[in-house]
Amino acid sequence: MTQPLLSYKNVSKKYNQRLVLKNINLSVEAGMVIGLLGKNGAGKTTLLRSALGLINPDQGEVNVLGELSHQLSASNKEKIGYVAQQTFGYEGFKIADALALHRSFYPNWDMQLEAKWLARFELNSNSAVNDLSIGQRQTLALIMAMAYRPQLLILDEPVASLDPIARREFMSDLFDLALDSGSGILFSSHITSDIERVASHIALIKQGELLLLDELDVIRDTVRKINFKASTIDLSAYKVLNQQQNCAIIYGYTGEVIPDALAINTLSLEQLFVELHG
Amino acid sequence: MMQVSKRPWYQGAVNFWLKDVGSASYFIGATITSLLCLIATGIEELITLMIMFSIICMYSAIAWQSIKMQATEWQSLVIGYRKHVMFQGKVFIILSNLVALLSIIIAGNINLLATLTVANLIGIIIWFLNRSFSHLFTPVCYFSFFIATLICVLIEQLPAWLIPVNVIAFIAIALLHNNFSSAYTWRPDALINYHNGLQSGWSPIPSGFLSNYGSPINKGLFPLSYFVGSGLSQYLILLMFVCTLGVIVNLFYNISEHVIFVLTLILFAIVTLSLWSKIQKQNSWELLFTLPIYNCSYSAKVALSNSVLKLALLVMSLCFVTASALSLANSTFLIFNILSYSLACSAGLLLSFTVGNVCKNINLLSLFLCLSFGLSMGLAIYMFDHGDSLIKLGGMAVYTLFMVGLNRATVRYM
Repeated sequence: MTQPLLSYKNVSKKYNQRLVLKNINLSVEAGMVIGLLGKNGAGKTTLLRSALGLINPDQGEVNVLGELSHQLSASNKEKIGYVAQQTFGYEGFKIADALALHRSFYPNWDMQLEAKWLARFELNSNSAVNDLSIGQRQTLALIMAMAYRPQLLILDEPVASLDPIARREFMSDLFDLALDSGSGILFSSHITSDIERVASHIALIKQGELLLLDELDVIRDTVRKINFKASTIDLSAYKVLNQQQNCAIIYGYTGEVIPDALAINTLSLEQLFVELHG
Repeated sequence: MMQVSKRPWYQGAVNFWLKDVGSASYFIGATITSLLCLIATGIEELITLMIMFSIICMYSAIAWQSIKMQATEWQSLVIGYRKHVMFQGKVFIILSNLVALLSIIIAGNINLLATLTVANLIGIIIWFLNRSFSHLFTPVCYFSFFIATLICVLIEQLPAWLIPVNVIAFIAIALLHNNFSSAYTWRPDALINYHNGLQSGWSPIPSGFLSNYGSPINKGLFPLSYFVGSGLSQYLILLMFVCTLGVIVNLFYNISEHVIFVLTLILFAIVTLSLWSKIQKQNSWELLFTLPIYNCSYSAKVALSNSVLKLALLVMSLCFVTASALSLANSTFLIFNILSYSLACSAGLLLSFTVGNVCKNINLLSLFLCLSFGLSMGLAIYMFDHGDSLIKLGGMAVYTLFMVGLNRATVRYM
């Protein structure tokens, strides 16, 4: 078995007595594109930051490319790409100057990829970073994080500010990159359609707890909404993600008959997200 | 694919230090005062102040880059990025020290070396504190600049024995810094502190300070107070407090010239801060235009010009009352000096706001604000010392009226 690019083992983190990450276990392997889905404040950003060693977990450990995340060596840092939710760092630069300086830190910078994406996202090299829109800044940050073809890519809401066309193109490129370079990608988003389009795996996080982590197809096939009348319905054979008086969301369903169930319905990712947070 | 380029140390220096507004405001100040060190070698009082300010400003600029570093999440992943930026900062600090040393050699005064070492000691404290605690930038800078000004104003010459003491303290801090805390690591509050620092004009006053007492002043100075914020009234109250304190102390010790110097310095610092805050909030114009009290954008601009004029009148009154109270205790100054001084202060304020009206480029604005600061400060002090004739008073009155007209005429360019 190959070593995962990124692994969280029993990771917990508290802020001001509030548990923001609860015993997280998650691994990212080469070729995987994991979409991290959760509401605002669910703990997505904390989870991603802890992979970079920006935040130290109170319990458990985060391993990146075989090293603890807060003790990353220089050679491993060069293999990680990161785009933060708030892009910041090259104020006062023109795009060309910012890229020139940034690429000087990376031995494997792909100039063709940089040029291709600058053209695709219609970024003018002579524009000042300060004058860019939020979406354009995000695009620049994405180019800076991906043009050296990192092995592990961590993206915090990478497309939130892009228009639908740019989002679709970027997501397509992201998937190609993962396939071509054998990279592992962990990205957070609210936009379920984006996640469905590119993610190979889904990680669903609610109040710091990882409710669900599996392949997208498996989730589609095995997550069901069960309606019932009797509260004595037996769902012990499944993982119950959410249960209310007359319905429940279960995971692990394989087509069998459930006694006392009135209806068994499939859910889209968006429906699942809404039901879990309803 | 391409191989790593051999990066020159100065790559991105202009962008980091001159085009980042926060850093530029200190870096430009440091550069100008460094050059003034060489020009002012014959004027002992001025060279002391210039050495102190050039060095502390340069350390403040590097401290600002340290805050930016803490606000940048990805910087720890980019190997060499932090070292590259900080190396540039160190080069600039060494250069400004070399210029200061050269001016000391030209001046031929060993005691100035004590000033230089004190400045470096204060500077390294500013820098090292801000490498870990971005929220301390404003109070640490203000405290340091205040201490530096007091040292320059109150102590004629620092004793030479301070030189080895300062050097040892400097080396100790430089060597032990790694034991204090983790420098430059990302902190969640650093980005907020960075943006707050830019928008507030590094106001040292807590946001809620004296807010109840200041509201009538803010109403009277609307729409200027709309741009500057509650800080405008707080600054004025603070200024009145400093003036009162100076006048009281002057009753017991004759420090009238020192009080005038400190008052003028604080006044123009406050004017610059207010103007800076106003410029940072220029994008709030749209909301102001939509208020039903203005017919068009031009009428809002004229209202702003009028509120600046009111502020100039307030400042003139405050300077007149303070200078008169000081001269009552030591009747060495004529009414001409006092009037000329008061007019020079209000004219200086109007000049700064006129520069703000016309100048769009933030770097040019920083440069011209520094120049107008120096010019207005020099003129005010000169008038207090030498403005003892009716001709000079008349000249000052004409100059002030010209500034009133110029301020009004340039509002259209805002």
